Amino acid sequence: MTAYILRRVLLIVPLLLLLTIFAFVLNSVVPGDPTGAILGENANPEAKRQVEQELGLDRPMVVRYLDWLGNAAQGDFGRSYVNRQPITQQLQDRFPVTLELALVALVVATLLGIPLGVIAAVRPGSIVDRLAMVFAVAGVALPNFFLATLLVLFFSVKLHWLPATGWIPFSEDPVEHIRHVILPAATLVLTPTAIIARMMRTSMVGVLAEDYVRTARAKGLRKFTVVVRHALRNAMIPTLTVLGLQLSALLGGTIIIESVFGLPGLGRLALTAVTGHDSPTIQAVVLLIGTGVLTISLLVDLLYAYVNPRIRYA
Amino acid sequence: MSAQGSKAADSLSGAGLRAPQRRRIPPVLGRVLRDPTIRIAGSVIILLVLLAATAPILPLDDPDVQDLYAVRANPSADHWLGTDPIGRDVFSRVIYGARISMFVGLVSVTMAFIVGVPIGLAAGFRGGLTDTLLMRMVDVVIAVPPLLLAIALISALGAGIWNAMFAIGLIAAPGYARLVRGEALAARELDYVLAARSLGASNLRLMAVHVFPATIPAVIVQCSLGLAFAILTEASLSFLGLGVQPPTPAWGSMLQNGFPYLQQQMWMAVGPGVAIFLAVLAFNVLGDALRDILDPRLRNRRANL
Repeated sequence: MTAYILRRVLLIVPLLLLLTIFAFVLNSVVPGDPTGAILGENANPEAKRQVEQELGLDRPMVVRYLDWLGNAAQGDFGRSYVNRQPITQQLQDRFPVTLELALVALVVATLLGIPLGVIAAVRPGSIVDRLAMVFAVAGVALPNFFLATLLVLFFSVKLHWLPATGWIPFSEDPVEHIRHVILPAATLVLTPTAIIARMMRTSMVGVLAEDYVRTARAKGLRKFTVVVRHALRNAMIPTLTVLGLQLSALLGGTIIIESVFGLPGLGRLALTAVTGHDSPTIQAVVLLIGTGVLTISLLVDLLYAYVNPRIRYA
Repeated sequence: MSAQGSKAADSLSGAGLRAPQRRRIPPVLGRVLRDPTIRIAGSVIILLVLLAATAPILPLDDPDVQDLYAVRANPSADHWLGTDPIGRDVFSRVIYGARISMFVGLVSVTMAFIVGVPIGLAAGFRGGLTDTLLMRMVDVVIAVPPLLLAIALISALGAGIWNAMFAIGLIAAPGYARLVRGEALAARELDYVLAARSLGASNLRLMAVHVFPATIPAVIVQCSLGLAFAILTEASLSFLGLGVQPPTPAWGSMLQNGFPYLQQQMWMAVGPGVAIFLAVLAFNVLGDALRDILDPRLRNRRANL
């Protein structure tokens, strides 16, 4: 197992390096020139050249990449082309919002999805199973911005229970903070719940077909004990991978949700950066979220090694 | 697709004079065509495609014509889903939106296929360093959430339908690569592939003629799910104003436009929303049902409880 862990941990280095290249190239081969974003499209060529020099854009791409990489490694992503603010500061301000939404959604989705999948798997073909799977299929197909629209329609517009948009920091007013988080988080919860429930059902059905489950039942253990104590552990292994993937999907999903609900998170930052051709900001967001996802998949793989005896004792 | 297949099979059996044996529908295709889930999802898809294809000859209002005397009208016999803020018929725009969604889905999936399948084939078939390098690149692209990647690409390329299709195809491609790689890895050791190799077949021929067909069932499933993904992503991009540009009717941007009028004219947003939901649902369900038939590993499982 040590060899496996070591190999897996070391793999993150080339992956991160590739990610930095990817994030950099993605927005450095832009057809439109970045000086336009700063000076406006009709600026005179003289001013453009001056800005290019100030930003170091007249240097070869490799030099610019290495320079950017060196600064990024020290946590400095430069300044936004649009508002000239330090990007690192903006990331620090906005990342907690996105992370909170994604984590709340993931925890709730796990707490709902796993039991749902298990209940469905215990009686395949039953009414409960069918309803759970209809939910699972529909949950994936319902676009989250449409769900957001429906939730706002019912809970804000019709019932006036919850605010439709806006963000109140927790430190300012905890109760209002939670009231503002409920709708966006509820919107984000649906799809991962559906996916987790489905994965859980599939793997649970597979595990329940194993011989050791029959043995456990034959020796007189209760159904509940067999499912929860014996089968669940093994059925969780594939689901674990899905959980990791869902956190990544949630970090992406917040882009839309933040813009629907007007929340000051990373997704909104990326979106405004895109409309303003603010490539350093986009590079930073892609790098930050990509690093987050790679770290999560590393953690999932390590956890996987721990829960999967085939690797643990290898 | 399946309907076409059966027609082809029919015409083959019609030419029974030359064929010593009557060619029948292959058993897998028969199972696909008889499956009730596939029939329902397939019908929805066929309906959507028909509506999209025939929209200009259907008795619909012109989706771009503004009736300024009937702005933000409620649903009526004239306007089934009412009208939008500049008096365009919402129902007609939803139907025309199907054209955009189907077109984007088709082009993006084709692109993902063209980019992803060769990468996966090469990685799985060649193995070794090629495999490692290609798959690490795939890992990195997959590490960036699809929608973030899409908007980052669009920020480089500019908003618009062609760039959206390009971006969606590109972000979907790693999924195909990973899938095909797995299948190719398993297929390259099969006896018939080894036999072909011993007969002196080139690597390219082995990959294209012998290994690729083994990946087709999995790729078909992926294409169906991929269409759902493409439709959903295009709708998301258009919702954010980065996809299809006005005045072209696209479901995502229509939903966005309807958002401020939720209280009075909710159909403006609900109509296109339901359309996205149905289209994505149909392709997802079709993909799942196809997988159940084409992937026998999942069959014959019974609980020992």
